[in-house]
Amino acid sequence: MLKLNGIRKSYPGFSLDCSLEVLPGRITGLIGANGAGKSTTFKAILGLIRPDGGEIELFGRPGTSLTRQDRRRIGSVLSDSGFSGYLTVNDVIRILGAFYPDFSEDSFRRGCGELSIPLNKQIKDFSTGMKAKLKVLAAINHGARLLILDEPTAGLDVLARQQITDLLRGFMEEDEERSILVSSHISNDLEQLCDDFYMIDCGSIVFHEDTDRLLSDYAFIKTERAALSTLDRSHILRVMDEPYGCRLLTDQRQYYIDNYPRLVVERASMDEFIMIMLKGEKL
Amino acid sequence: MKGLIIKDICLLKSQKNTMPVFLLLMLWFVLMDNISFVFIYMGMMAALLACGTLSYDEFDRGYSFLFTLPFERREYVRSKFLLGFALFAAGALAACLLVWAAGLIKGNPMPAEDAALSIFSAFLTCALILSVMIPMRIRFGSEQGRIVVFAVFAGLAALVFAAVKLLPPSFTEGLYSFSQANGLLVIIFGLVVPIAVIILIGYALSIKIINKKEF
Amino acid sequence: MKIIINTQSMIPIYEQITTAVRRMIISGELRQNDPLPSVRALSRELRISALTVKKAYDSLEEEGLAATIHGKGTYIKAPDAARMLEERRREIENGLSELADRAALYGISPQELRQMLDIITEE
Repeated sequence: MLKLNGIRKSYPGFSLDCSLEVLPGRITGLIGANGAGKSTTFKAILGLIRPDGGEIELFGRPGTSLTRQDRRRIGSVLSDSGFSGYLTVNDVIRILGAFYPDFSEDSFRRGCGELSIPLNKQIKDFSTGMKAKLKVLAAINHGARLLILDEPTAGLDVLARQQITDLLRGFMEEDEERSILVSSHISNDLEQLCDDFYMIDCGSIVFHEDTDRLLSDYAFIKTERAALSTLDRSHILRVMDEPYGCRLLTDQRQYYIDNYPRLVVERASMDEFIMIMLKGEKL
Repeated sequence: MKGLIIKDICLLKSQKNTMPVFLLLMLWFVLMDNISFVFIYMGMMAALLACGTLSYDEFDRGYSFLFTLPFERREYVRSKFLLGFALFAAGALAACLLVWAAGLIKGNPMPAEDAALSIFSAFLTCALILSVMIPMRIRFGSEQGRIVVFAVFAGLAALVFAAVKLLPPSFTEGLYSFSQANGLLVIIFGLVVPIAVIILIGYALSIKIINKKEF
Repeated sequence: MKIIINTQSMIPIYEQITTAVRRMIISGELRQNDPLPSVRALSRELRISALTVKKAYDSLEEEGLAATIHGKGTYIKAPDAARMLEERRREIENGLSELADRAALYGISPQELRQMLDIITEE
C-alpha cells in the first residue's frame, strides 16, 4: 500500500533517512521520541515537504508527488494542524462534500452525533478532544484507502482515546484492504490497535516487529549482574542497568523460561520495550 | 477547486459584521460626490478581503492540513485570484447601483464614460493589490508579508512620484490633453494592458512560490 | 463471541484464543458451519491486533477445526468424534502432568499421588 525507500531530508541539526512499508489490511504504528522524525516522515508521505532523496511507492505506483486522485484516497490527521478555526462543522461538511466525491455525509453526521460534536460552533471554540475527534471523522468518512495519522490521540483522556480507536477499528472493518499508518506516544493504544510497528530514533528506523510477536515472544529478564555471565546471551537484544542488577530484553522468551526455570522472566509491555530499545545497550 | 472556493466563502461569511461599515463608507463617498473614490475603495476592499482568506488559511498552522486535501497547488493560487475578481464583480455591481440611485435622487447622473473609467481604474487597483499581496503573503506569511507588501507599494509610489517629478511638464500636459482628446478607447487600452500584465506577473510568481513552498 | 483473554499471562494470546475455541467446540457451543467473527471484528472485541487473531484462525485451520472461505469468513469444521475424544484425553493428560510436576515440587511421591487419586475417584 505504501513503501518508503531511503527517504532522506536534511535540516540543520537533524536528518531523516527512513524506510518502511505498510501492507494492505494492516494497521502499522510508528513510535519514537519527540523530534525523532515521525512528523517529518508523515510530511514527506503527504507531499508537504520535498525529500532530498529516496523513493515513495503509493498504491503500488512509484513517484514522490501525489495526484489529486491519490489525495482523495488518503485520509490524514496532523497533530498540530486542521481545518481553519473560523469554520463550523456545517462548513466542514460542505467543504468535504466538494473535495471528495465519496464523502458520506450521513455517516459523518452520525459520527458527530455519537461523539457530541456541535455542528454550529466555530472550531476554535472546541475542546482538544472535540477537535481531535472531528479530524478523525473527517479522515474516515470519504472512502479513503489509506489513513495517515500523526498522533491522533495526543492530549486526550482515556474515554476520548477509546472512542477514536473504536472509530479506526470501524474504518478497518468496512474494508479489509484498507491500511493505517499511525504515530503515537501512547503505548497502550499501539499495543491494542497496531498489527506491527516501526521504531524511529534520530531520523532512522531502528526496529520493526509484529505487535503479536512482541507480546508473545519478547520478555524482560531481571537478574543480578553477576548472573549475567552464566546466561546464554545469543538471544539477548539489549541490556539496561537497574538498581537490582540489570534488565535484559530477549525475543526468545520460551527459550529462557525452559532453560532457566529460576530466572525472573516478565512479559514485555510496549512502554518498557520502547525504553529499553532507546536507552539500553546492545550486548 | 470548488472546495477551496466554498471554504473561502464560509470563511468570509464569518466576517459579515464588517460588511455594514464598508457599505456605510461607500454611501458616504457617494453622498460626498466622490464617485471615483467609491469604485477604487471598493476595488481595494475586494482585493483585501480575498487576501484576508490567506491569513485565515495560515492561522494556527492551518496550511499543513490544508495542503493534504485533494487539489493541485496551482488551484490554490487560482482560487485566490478568482475570489478577488468575483468579489470585485459583486462590489462593482453594488457600487454602480448605489451611484446610479444617488444620481437619480440628486439629479446629477454620472456619465457612462466616467463610470467605465472609474471601474477600470478600480480594477487596476484591485489587480495590483492582488498581484502583489498574494505572492508576498504566501512567500512570507501574513506577518512579514504585510511589511513586504507595504515596502513594495511604497517603492511603487516613490517610482511614480519620481517619474512625475522628473518628466518634463510638457510631457504630462501632452499626455493629459491626448487622453482628453482621444477618448475612452485609448484610455481603456492604456489600462487594460497594464492590468493584464500585472495579473499575469502576479499569477506566475505566485505559482512559482507555491510550488516551491514546504509546509 | 465470549472469549476471555488474559493479557498479563505468559501464554501467547493467539494460543488462548485457539484453546477457547477448542473448548467451545468440545462443549458444543460452537457447531459445524458456525461462523467465527471476522478478524477485524474479533480484534475489536478483544482489543488486540488483527494479526494475532489471524494467527489464531490460521492455527485452527491447520488443526482442521476451521476453514476460511475467501471473501466470506472463517467457519467451524467440527472434528470427528474420535478426534474430539482424543482432544479430551489430551486435556486430562495435560492436567495430570501439571499436577504430577507440582506434587514432585512439594515433595509428594508418585505413590502418594496414586493413593490420592484412588481415594478421589472412589467417591
